[in-house]
Amino acid sequence: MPDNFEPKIVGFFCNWCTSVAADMAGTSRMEYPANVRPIRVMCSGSVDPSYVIRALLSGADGVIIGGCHPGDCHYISGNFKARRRIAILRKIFEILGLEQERIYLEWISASEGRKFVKKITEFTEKLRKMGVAELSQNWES
Amino acid sequence: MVTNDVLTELSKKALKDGIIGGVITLKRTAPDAAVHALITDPEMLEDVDSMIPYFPDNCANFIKRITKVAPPNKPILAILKPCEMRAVVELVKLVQIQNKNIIYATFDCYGTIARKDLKDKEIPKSQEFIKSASDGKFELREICKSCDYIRSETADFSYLTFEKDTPIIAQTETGKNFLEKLGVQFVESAPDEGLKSVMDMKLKAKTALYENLKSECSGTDNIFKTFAHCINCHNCMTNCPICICKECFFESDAMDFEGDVFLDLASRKGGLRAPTDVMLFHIGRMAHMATSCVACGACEEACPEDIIVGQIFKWISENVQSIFEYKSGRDWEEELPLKTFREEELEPK
Ligand code: SF4
Ligand code: SF4
Ligand code: SF4
Ligand code: FES
Repeated sequence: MPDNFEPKIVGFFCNWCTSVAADMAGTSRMEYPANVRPIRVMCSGSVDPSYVIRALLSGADGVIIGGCHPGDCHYISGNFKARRRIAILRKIFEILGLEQERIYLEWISASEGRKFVKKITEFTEKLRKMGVAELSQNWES
Repeated sequence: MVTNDVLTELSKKALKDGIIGGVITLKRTAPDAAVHALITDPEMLEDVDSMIPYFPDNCANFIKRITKVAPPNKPILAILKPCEMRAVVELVKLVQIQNKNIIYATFDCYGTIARKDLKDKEIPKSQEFIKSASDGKFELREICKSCDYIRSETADFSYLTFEKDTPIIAQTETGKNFLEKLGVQFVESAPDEGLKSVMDMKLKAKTALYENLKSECSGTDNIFKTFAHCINCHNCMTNCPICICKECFFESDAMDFEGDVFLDLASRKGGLRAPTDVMLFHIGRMAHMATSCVACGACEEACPEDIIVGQIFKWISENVQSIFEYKSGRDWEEELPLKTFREEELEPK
C-alpha cells in the first residue's frame, strides 16, 4: 500500500439533514478530507443495499450513509428501515469476510455541520489505516 | 388403512369422500424424476408415494400460482416437506399466497437426494429410504444433511415419521376437522424423542457445514472462487420461493449503461467480467431476501453450474435472521423483519 493512500468514499446523504450539514460545513469553510463523493438521496430509507454493494464493487473503499436522527425522518420511519437494512448488509459482509467496517451509518442533522466534519474525518482516518479494499480491486466483480 | 404411504392413502379417501377437491403431491414422471402435481382423480394416486426423497422445486411456488387469481372454492390438500411449509408461511406473510381452502399436511423429513445424484438411477420408495435413513446407503443433499427444520409446527396436521408408532398430529382446528371427517386417528400433542435424536445429528452436521463454509468461502478471494463458474443465469432466483419481485432489480435497466460507462468500469480494474454484476446479484439478492430464506436449496438444485448457492444462502440467512431473533416460516405470527422495526435497536457504532 502506498504511504499516501487516499481512500475513496461514497456518501449517500439524506436531502433533509446530512446533505444540508455537508453544505453548511462547506460554506462555513470547515476543513475536512476531500475523500467523499456525495450523492444526495431523498431519505436514508431510499438507499437500497445494492447501491452500497455496487459502490464497494466498483472501486470505493468505504460507503457512508447519513440520515436524520431517529424520530426526525421526514418520511417517519425511513431511517429506522435503513438501520435494519444496513445491519443486515453488515452482517452479510461480516459472515462473508468482506470487512463490514467499510460500511458506515450516521445520524447527522441539518444543523450538525461540525458532526459531519468529525464523522467524515474519523471514517477517512479509519479507512486510511485499513488500506485499499480488496473487494474494490477484484476485476471479477 | 394399512399401507406404506399413509398420507397418500388418506388423500385418496378424502378425494373419494368428496372432502377435498384435489391433492398436491409429488408424482413420478420417470424412474429418476418426479414433479409436484394437483390431482383430482383418486386412480391417479395409485402409484403415488407422497414422501419420496426428491426435491424438484419448492412446492410453495405452486400454491402461490394456484391461489394467485383466487383461492379454490373446494379445499385442496397439499402434502409438503417442512421447508416447503416454511416457504408457504413466508409467502402468506408477504401477501403472495391467499391462504384459503388449502389444507396443509407435512411429515417429519428424513431429507432428499440431489437430482444430479439420481440421474439414470431410481428414486427410492419412501419406506425403503426411511429404513436406511441412518445407515448411509443414500447420500442426502448437503442442505438436507444439516437441515434444522425437519418438523413443521405450522401445518394443519403432520405425520410424525420420527416417532414410535408414527402418529399423526393435528395442529389446527382445520386439521382436526379434516382428520375427524376422514375417521383418521390423531394425537394433539407431539412426542419428540425421535425428533430430538435426529435433530442432534443434524445440528452437528450444520456446525460442521458452517465451519467448512467459513474456511472455504469467506474472504474476497474465496467468495469469488465460490462463484467462479457462475453464468449469471438467475435460475437460482427464478426457482427461489422467496424471490417474488415481478421485475428483479438485477434484471432491470438499472444494470444498463452507456458503452463509455462500461469502458470506465473496466478501466478501474483493467478489465470487466461478463456476464457483468455476478457478485452484485448474489450479495444484493441476499440483502433483499435473507430475512425470509427458508434454506430449502431449490436454488442449488436449479443451478446448472453446481454452485453451492443454497448452502451459502442458508448460512448467511440464518445469521441475518438471528439479528432479529427471527426464523423464517416457523410461526404464523412473527413479523417479517423488513416490515417492522423497533425505535431503539441496532444503533450504529
Ligand atoms: S431442506 Fe429440510 S425439510 Fe427440506 S427436504 Fe431437506 S431435510 Fe427436508
Ligand atoms: S443458478 Fe448458478 S449459475 Fe445461474 S446465476 Fe445462480 S449461481 Fe449463477
Ligand atoms: S435462497 Fe435458495 S435456499 Fe433460500 S429460500 Fe431461496 S431457493 Fe430456498
Ligand atoms: S428523511 Fe432523512 S432519513 Fe428519512
